[in-house]
Amino acid sequence: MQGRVEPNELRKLHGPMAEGAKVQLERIAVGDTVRTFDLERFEVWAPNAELVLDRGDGTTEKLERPAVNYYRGTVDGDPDSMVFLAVGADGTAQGLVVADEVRYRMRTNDKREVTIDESDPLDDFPIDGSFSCGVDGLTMGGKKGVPSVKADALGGVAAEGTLSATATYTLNLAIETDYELYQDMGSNPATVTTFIGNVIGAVSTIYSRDLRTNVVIAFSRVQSSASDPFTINPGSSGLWNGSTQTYSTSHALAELGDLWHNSGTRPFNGPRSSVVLMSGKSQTAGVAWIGTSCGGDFSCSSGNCGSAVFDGHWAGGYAYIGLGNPSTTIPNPDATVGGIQYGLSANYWPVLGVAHELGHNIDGPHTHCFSLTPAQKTQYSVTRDYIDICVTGCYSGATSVPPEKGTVMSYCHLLGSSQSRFLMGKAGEVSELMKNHLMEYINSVTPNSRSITAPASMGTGTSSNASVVSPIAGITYDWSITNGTINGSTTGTTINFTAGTNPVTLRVKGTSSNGCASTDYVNVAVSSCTAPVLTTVLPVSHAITLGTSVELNATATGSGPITYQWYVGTSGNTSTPAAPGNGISASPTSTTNYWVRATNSCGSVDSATITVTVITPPSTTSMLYVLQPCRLLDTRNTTPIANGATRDIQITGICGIPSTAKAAVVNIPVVSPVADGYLGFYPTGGSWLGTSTVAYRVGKTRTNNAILALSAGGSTTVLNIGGTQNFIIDVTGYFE
Amino acid sequence: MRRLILTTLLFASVLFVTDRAFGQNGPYQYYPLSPCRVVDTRNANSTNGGPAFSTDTTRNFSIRGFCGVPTTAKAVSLNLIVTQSSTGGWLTAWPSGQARPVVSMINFQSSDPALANGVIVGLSSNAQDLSVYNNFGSVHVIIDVTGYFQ
Repeated sequence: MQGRVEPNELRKLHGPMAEGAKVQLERIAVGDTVRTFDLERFEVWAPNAELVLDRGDGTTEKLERPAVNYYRGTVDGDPDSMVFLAVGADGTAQGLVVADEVRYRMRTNDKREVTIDESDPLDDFPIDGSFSCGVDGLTMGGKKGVPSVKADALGGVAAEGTLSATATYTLNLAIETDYELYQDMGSNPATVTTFIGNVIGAVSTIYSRDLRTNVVIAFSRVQSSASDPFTINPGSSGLWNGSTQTYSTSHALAELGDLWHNSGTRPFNGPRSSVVLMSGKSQTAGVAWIGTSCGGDFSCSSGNCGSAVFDGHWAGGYAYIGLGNPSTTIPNPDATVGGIQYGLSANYWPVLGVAHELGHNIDGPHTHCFSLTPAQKTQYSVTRDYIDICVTGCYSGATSVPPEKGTVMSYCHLLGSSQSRFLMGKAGEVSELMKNHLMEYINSVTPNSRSITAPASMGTGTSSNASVVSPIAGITYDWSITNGTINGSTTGTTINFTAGTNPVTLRVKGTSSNGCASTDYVNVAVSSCTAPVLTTVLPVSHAITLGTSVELNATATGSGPITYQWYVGTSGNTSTPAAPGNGISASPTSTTNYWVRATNSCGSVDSATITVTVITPPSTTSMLYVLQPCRLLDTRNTTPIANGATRDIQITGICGIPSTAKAAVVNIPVVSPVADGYLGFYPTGGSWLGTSTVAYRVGKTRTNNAILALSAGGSTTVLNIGGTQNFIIDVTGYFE
Repeated sequence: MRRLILTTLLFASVLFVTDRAFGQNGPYQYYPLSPCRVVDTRNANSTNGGPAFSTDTTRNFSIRGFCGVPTTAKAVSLNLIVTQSSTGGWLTAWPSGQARPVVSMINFQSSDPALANGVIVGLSSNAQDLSVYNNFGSVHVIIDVTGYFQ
């Protein structure tokens, strides 16, 4: 039964979507079931990927990235299922779906419908008899069965550590292709790059799901001339190391290593984890070095690389995969829709082949060569000596497919085209040993970002440092944060950050010089504790009468219990504490400063200084004497008072006011104000206590009456705040 | 209720002293003070602080005990200041605990940034001894005391 995707669902994948964005496609008919795809937008091409067309005449041309959005994910959340979708700019789609161990091909047909067809098992892996893999002769030695070639040649690979449960990894690939693949793709460079992107996208889907590893392309090259640098055609014969030999994939692998080791012929000098040659030559076979990704090159001699074929040649992070006979394995022409050749072939040999050979580069042996310890056999309840026994080699005896079928690293497809699953290992089954082994290798050769140092918990709004170390030199770091702020540089081994809300997540990506990267994170618990904030402090600065008391009161918001302490003095001076508590009574006998500190478990806050002025009531009494109104002062006849200025004005001795007068009863007109402002009067020699006697408004002549206390000398002082101003004082009486 | 109106002879302002509240109505001696701010509703909410007056609102302030006004004072001379008025309106001040007199002590317009008027007003024996009423709009009130009678 043919499944299909409703157009409305597929439309969710159109348009711009950020890398890492999640999207769910619902009601997808797969076979005779209705499924949900949990997808993530991801990128196959590295940010600065170089795409090159080599014309074979010494000239090259830059190629554009395929106009394709890539999505990967699972079906109904089943961790062993798989969805890879390539969606073109015109909305056409092609993809690979694995659900319930059945592989489906998803594509847009010529009616622009997206259909989902179960792959024809006979068409699934058209393996021809020439299939072979060049590492079969390697035996498992030691616990992990690491082939001797790796240990001898690299020597410096970091020891395995405890695998982080949270790290993710990145491998940067350089992809080579040959002229034969170019011809198979209709001699269209764009078709080749689209094919490369789709195959690596499907591989990245498997690797990200099982190994938390993103596989990205940093470099790709298309050969449009027969005079390409890949001369070895496995199965044919030619001169090698001074004698005529029948070429195998090992010869092609050696040629690839020599090409990339030589700086004169190396086409790309950027960071690379592995170089993968996807060949269109006829042999359906692959070979790759084991445990060489993220390491350097090494030279082979005296058979130390496992075969005399390699003597005098260069090895390292290289993989060769022959995609086989174009008539059976190269993309079906009906995958061309809307002008885009999506390039996933009718079968999945390119996906399995690249995933398999790259698996060798990250230290994966074949599962039929991964020997089991007695303890492992007991743990997983198996009796065989290897993860699988699908082929004889390391294992000798009758072959059979294990109940969980084979992994990507198996040969189980030789026993049935669908017997190798697109799994690196299945949780709870013995094959998970392979998955764990691969992850430990990646973890050991990528920057060790596990060791992030950050506080376990912080308070909201507080700052701290975080740092990371790696045993591998030459690492560049890139930090990011969720629910917080990085202060200053986001690169380097140490950063400073400020916690926002709970919880803070700090991520750091470390990238080595060969482009192998590890990303890990730590969560920092953020206590909800907030430092006190004073909401009310009573009273404000004010004046009291001698003999009365003042109530000091403060209220603060903040977490948990808050304690209050009042102090005598200016804010911050703790030398003279008053009684504890938020509300206290004080009876100062002279002008006194107070302030309060509110404290809880995560901080404290100080109030501003409150000045309580103590005023002693006058002891002398006075009686009112009425005068004929008399103009005592008119500044229009003298000088107006400037803004901010004070002026002393003699009151007694004028208008009949005796020198013994204590206060004057006055009217104070402010004449034609030029600005808004006020006049404040106080006895000469005393303090201005922030008072206003006459408020004036620009253009409005206004009068106010007042009783002005006088100094012992019988004068008053006026402060003017506003504009340069004329005013008048008329007296109508006095107190004495 | 008998009212002794003394100061209309001298000022536009008004003195209310009531025998019912004090048992006697004078005569009182005057004690001048250096002007001192005793009420400012622009400050944080408290007895002599915020909030601002709203329409048809009476608030009771404490004058005695502050600014040198003794607890024995019977009346005070004040400068009554309004600012930040939302609209035109008027204020009345009187000894707390009594019926509000039908007089205005300061009339203001919304266009006034600030306006002041000097008044002499009696105090009750309550802790909050002075009532102030605002008839309309939102307005901040400031009281500077300039002396007292007892």
